[in-house]
Amino acid sequence: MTMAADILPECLIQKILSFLSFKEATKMSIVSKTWMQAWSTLSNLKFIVHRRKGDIQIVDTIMERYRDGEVLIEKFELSKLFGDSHPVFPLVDKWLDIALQNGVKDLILNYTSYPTPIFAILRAKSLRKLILKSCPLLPLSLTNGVVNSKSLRKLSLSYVKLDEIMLQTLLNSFPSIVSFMFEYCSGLETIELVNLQKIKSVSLKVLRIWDSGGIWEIDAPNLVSFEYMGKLIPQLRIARQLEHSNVILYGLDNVNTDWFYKLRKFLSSSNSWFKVTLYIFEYTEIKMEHLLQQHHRVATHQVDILEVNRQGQNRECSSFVDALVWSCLPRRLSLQRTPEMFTIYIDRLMHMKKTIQSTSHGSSNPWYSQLKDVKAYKSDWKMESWYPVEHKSEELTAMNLDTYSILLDW
Amino acid sequence: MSSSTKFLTLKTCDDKKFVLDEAIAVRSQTIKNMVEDDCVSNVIPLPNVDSKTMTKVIEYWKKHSEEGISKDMLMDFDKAFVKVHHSILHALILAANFLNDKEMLDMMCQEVVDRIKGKTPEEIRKEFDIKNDFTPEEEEEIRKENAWAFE
Repeated sequence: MTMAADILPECLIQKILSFLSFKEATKMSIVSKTWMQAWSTLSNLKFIVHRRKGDIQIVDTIMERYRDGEVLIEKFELSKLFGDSHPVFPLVDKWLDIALQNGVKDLILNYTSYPTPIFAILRAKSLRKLILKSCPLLPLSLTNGVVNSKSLRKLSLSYVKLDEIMLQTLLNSFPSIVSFMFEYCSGLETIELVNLQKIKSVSLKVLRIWDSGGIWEIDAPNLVSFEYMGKLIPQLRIARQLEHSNVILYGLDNVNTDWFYKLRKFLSSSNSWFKVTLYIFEYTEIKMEHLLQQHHRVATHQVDILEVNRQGQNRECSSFVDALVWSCLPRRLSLQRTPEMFTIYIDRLMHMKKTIQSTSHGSSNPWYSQLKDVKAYKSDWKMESWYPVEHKSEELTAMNLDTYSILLDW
Repeated sequence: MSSSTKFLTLKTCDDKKFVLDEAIAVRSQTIKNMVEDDCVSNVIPLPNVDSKTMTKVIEYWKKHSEEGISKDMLMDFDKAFVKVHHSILHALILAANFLNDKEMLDMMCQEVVDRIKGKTPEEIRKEFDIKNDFTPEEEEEIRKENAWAFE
């Protein structure tokens, strides 16, 4: 039996070619007529344009061939595009135009110079996925900003500078968006006030807001995946349980009673959370009795992993541990590298457990009456295995540079 | 093994029969669709796959369905699995494509790509037994047109 690559159908050769850079794929065109045919109608175009003039000419020649032959383009990726090369801008206009004319579905742009005419791009009916990295956006004043893109499913912006008006105009432009990624975008935070960014979408299922300023109000009933990193607790309105979640709150230097109230309110928007990580610098006195008065309903949410990183000077006190457990209801509490801190946590949690056991027949149950068991573990430095540890303070203080985990059975 | 385990019989183009746990066989989207649409009678014919290739495919499916297997073990298995003569590699690509197992297809295509990288067109033809059906003039023409790629 002889099976040669020549007998692979064109679609499979194209699949193989699409794993290669366009240059490497072009080299393959000379192998045989079948490979040549597969290459010439390759629908994935990925160009990295360097400063050299030759690169621009090559891309231009290829794009003209696709235009003249009306060859389908499914994916178009353009990156690097160096410097303030204004003479290139009209060419980029032309290339984008060809890609959009030839039915591009996925558009990936990654450069720091050419001002991207985002609203002109969004008018393309075929576009399903748009990924912009570092690209400057053509100001709204220079475009006719109103678009209604029914085809776009995924939008990802990273390191893109945009203001509130631009963001809102964008958000209003795609009624069928499913996935929205927003990472390291600047321009939303002003010095004087914290702007409220509103996202309202019925179609949205996947949302990632990663270190992009402002306070976010998210109204997305069908959301299934939510990832958030920021300094402020967002407001979330969803109608179903999240399937995937990862929340990181950092730079927390003003943690107080009210903050824990907000945290619990936010977490109660979904029944379960996969991971919540807190980087806490400073906190002021926490009044548990105020929290219990404000929010006396039984919590229905739980956090699978709660990771606490403490960076400030002040030491943990029992009301802090109480507020943390009360607001998050963690199944696993993960603590980074402070044996003293661990001791305070475990002492407090063991105290809770004992209190429940002793009041099990009493009439007034504490808020943590659901807590069944508390177990402590520490891992070796490679995080490969976990050892159960005794709840004795002396033993704990002897250890350092380990990661501690407390399992809570609710 | 639970009593609910269902088995499927697959028949390759050279009339060999393979009896396989349904839970494993549905790694093939093609078979999965057939099962879901209830159009599975006794034997599922696989007219595009021969028994030699199917034996390899099933080896891969079983390994990837093993309970408790570590990522490292799978990576070692995959590494060894793709180290085959190019004729088998191509037969596996065709089979993975027909059976619609995206994970396997991607892995096999990646292996072809790894073998292509850094080679001249002549070396690639030799590696994969591809007949050069261009005339020297045609080949020269293409080289000239895309000279930038051959620099």
